[in-house]
Amino acid sequence: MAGMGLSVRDLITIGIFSAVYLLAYVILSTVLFTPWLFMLLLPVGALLMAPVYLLFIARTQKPFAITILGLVAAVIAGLLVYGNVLIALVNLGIAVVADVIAYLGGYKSLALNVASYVVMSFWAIGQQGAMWVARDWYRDLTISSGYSADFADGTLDLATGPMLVAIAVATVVAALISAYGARNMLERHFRRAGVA
Amino acid sequence: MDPNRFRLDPRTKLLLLVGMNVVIYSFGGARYLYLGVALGAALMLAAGAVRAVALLVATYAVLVAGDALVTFAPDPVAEAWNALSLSFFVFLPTAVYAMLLVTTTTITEAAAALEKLRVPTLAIVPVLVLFRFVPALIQDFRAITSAMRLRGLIGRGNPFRMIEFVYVPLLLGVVRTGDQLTVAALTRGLGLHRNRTFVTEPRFRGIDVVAIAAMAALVVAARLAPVDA
Amino acid sequence: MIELAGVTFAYGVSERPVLADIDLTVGAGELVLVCGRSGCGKSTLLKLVNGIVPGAEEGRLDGRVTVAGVQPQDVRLQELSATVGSVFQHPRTQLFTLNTTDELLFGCSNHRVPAPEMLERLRTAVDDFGLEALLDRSIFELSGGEAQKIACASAAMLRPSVFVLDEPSASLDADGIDELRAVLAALKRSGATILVAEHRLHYLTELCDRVVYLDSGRLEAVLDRETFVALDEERRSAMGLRALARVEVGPRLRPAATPAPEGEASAAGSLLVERLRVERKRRLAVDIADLELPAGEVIALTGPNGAGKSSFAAGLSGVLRADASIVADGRALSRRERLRRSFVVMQDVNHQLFAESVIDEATLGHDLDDDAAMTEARAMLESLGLGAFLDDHPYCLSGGQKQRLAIASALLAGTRYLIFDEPTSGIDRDHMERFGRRVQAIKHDVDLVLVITHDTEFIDACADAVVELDQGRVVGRHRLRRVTPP
Repeated sequence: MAGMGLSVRDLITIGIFSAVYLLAYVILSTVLFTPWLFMLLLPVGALLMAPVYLLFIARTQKPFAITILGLVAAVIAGLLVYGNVLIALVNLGIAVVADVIAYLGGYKSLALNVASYVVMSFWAIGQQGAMWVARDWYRDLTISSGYSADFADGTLDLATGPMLVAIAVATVVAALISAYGARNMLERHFRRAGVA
Repeated sequence: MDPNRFRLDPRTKLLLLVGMNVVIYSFGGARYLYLGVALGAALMLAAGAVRAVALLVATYAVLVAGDALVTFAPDPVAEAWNALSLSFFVFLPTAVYAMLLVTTTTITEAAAALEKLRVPTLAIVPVLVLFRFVPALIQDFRAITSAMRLRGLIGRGNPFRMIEFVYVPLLLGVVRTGDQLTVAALTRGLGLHRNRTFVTEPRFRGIDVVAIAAMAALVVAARLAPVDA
Repeated sequence: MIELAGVTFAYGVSERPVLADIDLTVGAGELVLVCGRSGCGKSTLLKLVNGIVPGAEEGRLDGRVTVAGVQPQDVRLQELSATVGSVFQHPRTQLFTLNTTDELLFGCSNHRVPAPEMLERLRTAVDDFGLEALLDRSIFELSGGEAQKIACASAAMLRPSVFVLDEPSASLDADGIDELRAVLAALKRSGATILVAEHRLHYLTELCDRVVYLDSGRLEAVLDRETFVALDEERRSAMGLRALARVEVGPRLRPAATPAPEGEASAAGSLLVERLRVERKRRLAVDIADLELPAGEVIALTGPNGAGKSSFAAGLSGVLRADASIVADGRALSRRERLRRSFVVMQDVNHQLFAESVIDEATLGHDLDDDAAMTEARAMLESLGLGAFLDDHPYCLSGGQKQRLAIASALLAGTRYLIFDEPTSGIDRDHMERFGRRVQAIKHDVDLVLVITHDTEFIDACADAVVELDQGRVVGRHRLRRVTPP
């Protein structure tokens, strides 16, 4: 895109990698589709996606590539599934932060790329993110959907309290483990095959 | 009579989606949400997306039934159910419009509508590629797991190795596909101009005016006449 | 129309030129066939004409390339697309959109051709190429031949004066090749200048005006059609070129059902398919009973697209769940046993390479401390010509080398039922014959060698028996009696 510095090849790369990303999360969401297991979406996703993400950075190494990957994923997941602009924006925001972090290392620093991955692992935070970021709005939304104030508070507390912290920690740990394995994979395979 | 007379312009559907977001964040009360859902379902039916509406109704029925029954269930189950049901109900109104968009719009229509809104072609390319390659990826995944089965690599050894066995051929294939597709696209001029031309342009019809007017009325009502719970 | 003057080219920073001192002129309206062994440089020659080099791949070019008055190296690839149309080998990665009509309009759309003109060109293309039945279809439903037809028509919609096609018939069966030939005839009628690089020559002998033969990057010969068609078998073999006429295999050419010279119809280890029914997409894709697959023979499995050949292989090997009773040595085999004993070398070998080096790939699944296994592996790889690549990553090997690696893995894993899915599509004569000799050599080391193929030259040269499938059923089986051993 003129001004964004991404070539047609980069954009096609973004398209295909976002296909891998979304396919993986869709499959995970379907498998984890029960009230409690669903919260594992973020940690389990984090455990799996590092090879895809790190290879993606190695293939693009340009500003805005991660942002657009996030934009595509956010639009598809946020807008086309939930239809909710707030969710889409939260997902996109996470991708932007991840992009900035990787950018600081010129997309070549392993440490920063891994940090970027840790942040990016929260991209599907979706409605939980909405609950956390815009708590009052979410409360009002619940009440105006027909639930009682007590009920709204109760569920919010449940979702944003220690549960959220536990999931966040699990996600970070899972992301780091995955990144460790991915780095290994990157060296032994993709670098030797000449694609990274 | 125009057989497409009940097909909405994709831009309208986008507008309706945004409109519904405004309605829910106006916190006007549940009745407006129900009205919004009804409008969305009606538009889907008019466009012929019968299965989608059936699914919607079925989901709604399950949730209502569950909410009624859950009072008899033990606490942890009730809590879990409430969390699930809450997330559905809160997002159902906007999800309905997402369904409307997804089940009644083809990729080409959507691309043409976005480009008419002056979104550059190259900005849409990643999404086009995404939809184009999901089936191919699934095929690749199946071929790879078949090969793994033949080699006796499934179920044996640690899960991390198995992940590697899937990822390596899959991602190498992704790289190769990307390169080949790029060349096929460039040799037909992709990216030559900021926007492309289309044979069928999106068009506003009567139904679009009706739908937008209905949503506008809903938005105004939700803001001006909120109903407290 | 096309002129190459003193062209020498090397990829990247490589010292070794892929093309050396090429001087070639192609006149307007000519159809020129570019042929030669694998690695002779024909693809590179085409890429210089359609601008892929240097548009998508880099290298050093000496000399000058001129196409329709323009130098492809000076122009952006997208701009060149209105002058030079390109068609590639693989239908799957060539089609950008999801719908055939969108695909046809894709090029014009990118070039901002006004809507009325696009429709007009579409109407003309439908007439010229016979596309009525293919309009507004999902690209996932198309056969290989249909997809290539769409790809060609899509490029033609831009009305380029030059067409470049790189092995367009590689993944096509007989019907697909017929459709391709018709498309090329239509292109020629429209007056376009056409360059086609190919291994499969038989479908172009009527259409080509001249033939360019490359060897190791050098222009060895430029023949006119009569001279080319008059080349005898010996000459063609020396040049590494495939047959010039379509080879037919069938009972008309060979005696049917003659017992093999070795005698025993069911040697030890032979498979008897008592019953095999495979369901695909809620249809019965394969419905076979009482089929003998004798050991010690190279059996070719043929049939039109959709006949169920791949499903048969998947059901037999246990990859797919099937209603099957498959007997070996008097005992029915379970699905798990069949899985353990089978190996399928897939059409896209890349789907089955998992390890980080050739030696690791070959010994995958074995205990790394097992010295005997390692020695055996090294010897096997050596004998397959991979001895120099033991530590290389499998991805870096050529297509033929990857195939041999898969064979090595299969044999080292103690495979008893070896199945190949289209192993010779898109490879040159020498490699095809070498592959044939190889399967002949190992046919006594395993209990089944089954080759799914529509390459009649290969069957004619190297198969011992043929099983024909159509619509999931066996419609013919015959032994091929050879006058001279393969």
